[in-house]
Amino acid sequence: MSDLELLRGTLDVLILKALAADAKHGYGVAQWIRAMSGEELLVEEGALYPALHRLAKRGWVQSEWGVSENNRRARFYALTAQGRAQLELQTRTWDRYSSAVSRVLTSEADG
Amino acid sequence: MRRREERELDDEIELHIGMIVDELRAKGWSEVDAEREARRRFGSPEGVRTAMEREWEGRMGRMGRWIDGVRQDVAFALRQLVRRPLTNGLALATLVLGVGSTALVYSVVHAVALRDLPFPDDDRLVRVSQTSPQGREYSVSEANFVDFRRRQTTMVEMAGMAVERPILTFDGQAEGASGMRVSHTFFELLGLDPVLGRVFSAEEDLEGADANVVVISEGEWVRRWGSDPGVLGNRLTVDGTAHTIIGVAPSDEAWPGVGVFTPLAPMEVAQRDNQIMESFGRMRPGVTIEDVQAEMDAIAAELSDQYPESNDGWGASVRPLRSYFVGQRQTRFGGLLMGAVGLLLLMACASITNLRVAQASARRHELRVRAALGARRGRLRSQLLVEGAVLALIAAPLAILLAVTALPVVRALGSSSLGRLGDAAIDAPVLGVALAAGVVTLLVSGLAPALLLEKDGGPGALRDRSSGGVRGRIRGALVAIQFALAVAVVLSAGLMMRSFAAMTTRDLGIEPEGMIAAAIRLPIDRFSPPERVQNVQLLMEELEAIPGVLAAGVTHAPPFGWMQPSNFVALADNEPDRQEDFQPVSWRAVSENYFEAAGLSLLSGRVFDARDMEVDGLQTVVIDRGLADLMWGPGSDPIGERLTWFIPGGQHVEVIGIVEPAQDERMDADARPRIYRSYGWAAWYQPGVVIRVAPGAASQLIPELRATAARVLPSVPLIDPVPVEESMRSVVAWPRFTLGILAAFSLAALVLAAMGVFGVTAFAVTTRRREIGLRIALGARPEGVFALVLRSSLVFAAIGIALGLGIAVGTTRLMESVLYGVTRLDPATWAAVPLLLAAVALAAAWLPARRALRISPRSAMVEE
Repeated sequence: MSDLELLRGTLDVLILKALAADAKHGYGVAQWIRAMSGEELLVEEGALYPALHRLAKRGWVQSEWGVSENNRRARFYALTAQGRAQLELQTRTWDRYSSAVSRVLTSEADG
Repeated sequence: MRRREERELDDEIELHIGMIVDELRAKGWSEVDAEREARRRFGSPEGVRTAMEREWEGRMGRMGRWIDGVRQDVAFALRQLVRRPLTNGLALATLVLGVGSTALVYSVVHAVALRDLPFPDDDRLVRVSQTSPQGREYSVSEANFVDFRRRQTTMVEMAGMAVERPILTFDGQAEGASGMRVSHTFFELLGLDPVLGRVFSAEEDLEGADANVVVISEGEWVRRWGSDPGVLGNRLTVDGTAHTIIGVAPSDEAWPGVGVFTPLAPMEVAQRDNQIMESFGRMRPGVTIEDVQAEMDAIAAELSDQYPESNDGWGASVRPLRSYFVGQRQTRFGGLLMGAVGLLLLMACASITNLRVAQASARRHELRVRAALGARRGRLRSQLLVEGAVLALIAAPLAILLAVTALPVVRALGSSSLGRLGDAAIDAPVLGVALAAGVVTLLVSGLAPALLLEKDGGPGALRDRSSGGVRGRIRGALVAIQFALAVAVVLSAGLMMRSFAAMTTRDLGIEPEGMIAAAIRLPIDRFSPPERVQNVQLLMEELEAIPGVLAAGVTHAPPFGWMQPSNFVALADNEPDRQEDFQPVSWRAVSENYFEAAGLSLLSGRVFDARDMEVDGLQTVVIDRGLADLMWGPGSDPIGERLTWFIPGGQHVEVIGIVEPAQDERMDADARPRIYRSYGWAAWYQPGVVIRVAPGAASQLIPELRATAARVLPSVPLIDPVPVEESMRSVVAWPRFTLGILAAFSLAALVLAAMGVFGVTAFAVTTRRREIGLRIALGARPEGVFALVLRSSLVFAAIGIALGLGIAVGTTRLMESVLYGVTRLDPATWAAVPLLLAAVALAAAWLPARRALRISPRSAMVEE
């Protein structure tokens, strides 16, 4: 089993999905993606935080400082209305894309 | 703002790591192990930060983002410079050389030719001169100045000055000084308000006023009077007459060394044809120089009608006053030097570009990695520009240091005879030019590799060999440019050298070796013309009596002096109606033994003797071979023939002798045909003295010459006696100075060109290792391989040389006016320079090409 490298666009949509239910801090996001993907997707921290920033800049995500479950200062990220719309849009796009890819991959290959 | 973001990111990272630790602890890890593992898993926080930078960039203002980028680039550039000491050292040295010489040459040219005159609103000041019917420019006669000034309306005021060598007497000791007669309008017009006292009044400035007042210069006041404020009212003996000091004027910057001013008191009628003074004017507001010219043309035409005997066909010329202070020679030589230093700077650009392109090859990997990591092109370009800027910033102080160090040497090379060269300094304008030169170099040499690298970032990036070829061609083109520029620089130095040789080896007619020149002054109001002749004869006899002195004579215009009097002659029996049809000549009034003292040999007839020396004695002339050829045909012997001498009414003179031509006007031009009159004819009151002594004895005899003069005529001191050989050096000062600088530039140009060929050959050997190895493996003969490599780089040098010769056909045109005795297309120079550069190219390519022979085929193939 190899770590799947997350493409930038994919990581963005995964983060949006992670925040769809509730606000999370960075660790929480990484943890959620790992758990939900059945430990297949390992999020690079080097990519996670810039991605969160990028999303915040676009106005899809907002952040505020709060206290974590172990009583530490933590920045919590939450989805904005815009972010929620974006998540739906990207999910549909992803569905179309992945089903298209799998149709190709599962077709009768003759070289 | 950035600080807070960084701190917050650190908090987030710490939290993240802390969470991982908690998770691991929950699985039963020890605290220490969990901590270590968490940090391992998280990876480098630095990596996160770096990745965040780009996200932050979007949030920072454009300016902030830019500054931050530059900050990183500067730090990065410094590390780069240290990592490659050799190429960067070479680039730095080249830059220092290029910018330093630009600053140096500009400081010199600025001082002698470009800077403002030391007068307020100097661009409103003009010089008015007379023009002969043949169109030659002359000074102005006193009577014409008076009329010009009275009739003109386009100028606020006009002023005049005439150079004098007054005798000052202190404690009974007479000494020659430097002075000027000036009009009462002079100081005010130029904006030189007196430091103390007053300047001349209109009444003191009238012909025959005999006001006996004197204004001294500030320098004289400081030197001789110790800045005593009580100097006003003191007596100063000028030309044997007591004068009252009425004022102190700040004139030293414009006329250094001139200590004494007396009123011009111009002759209003007499000697209208004696152009002896300079006249200036200040234009009225809104008036252009063309307006003044038009008015002066009209006045000159009136005078031509009114006084045809002296003014027939004479016009006026109005030019900026600058043209009086900055001679054409200075402007021309200055232009030549600036042009040469410009070429050198371009060569430096090409060299640095070449070095940096070479570096870029070595750094291709590094830059490609950065591009892959997401560095945008603009960012890479700015990084390369910043590297150039850092180089320039380091080079700038070194270049200034070079200029400051070399300036005294250059000033010494030029000697005091180059006008205001002594004032050359590294000041604000010079620093500005140096800065501009540095910026240009930086932009040119920084942008080229940047653009080149961008090509690399494209799809072709992986095809190493092809881009190596592109790079090779670009470097080759740079070498060609270097050689083309080097040809232009070396060629100009070569032509200058030939011209200088022609100047210094030509037959002057006069013999500078063993010749001493001095001056005496027999003031008009103390000696009548016959007394002047008598005293001159007495003094010359006494001087000739000194052992070691062979001959002594006077001339009203000394060799290579500022005064170069002219007149016009015609055959007496074939006199034209109009002055413009007369033959222009230069003339000298000389005493009996002048020819012997000057070393001019008599070719036919006789020289002057006592009969000719009498005032109003025989109207005889001696002419030079050139005039005889011109008037009576080559080889003619016109002894006893008569000429018309152009003075009001015309005067018939008889030719009594023919002498060899004297090239004593300018070093870089042949003298005009010459006519000599006897000193007795005009008995000029401040003649030059020429003394011929035994070879080598000149310096030792000077004190004795002075002592003898002081004994014979206590009130007529021998002024500034100097061996002519010494003063001759100042005559060729500009050519010598220019030659020295051009020679230094040529050397630099050759070194830069050699560096270029060396680099490109070494590069070719490196990039073509595989091919060369293959050829050797396939049995190519070593000589063949060697020739192949040599050819690959020499072809660029050859193209450059050819190109340079083409360019030089145009650029040497600019030199035409400063060359003497050699044409700009001098075959010897044009043959020698390409050969020299070819030799340099061959020598510089030889060493790296040898390396090709040592390539082992095996290792060359394995490496790739």
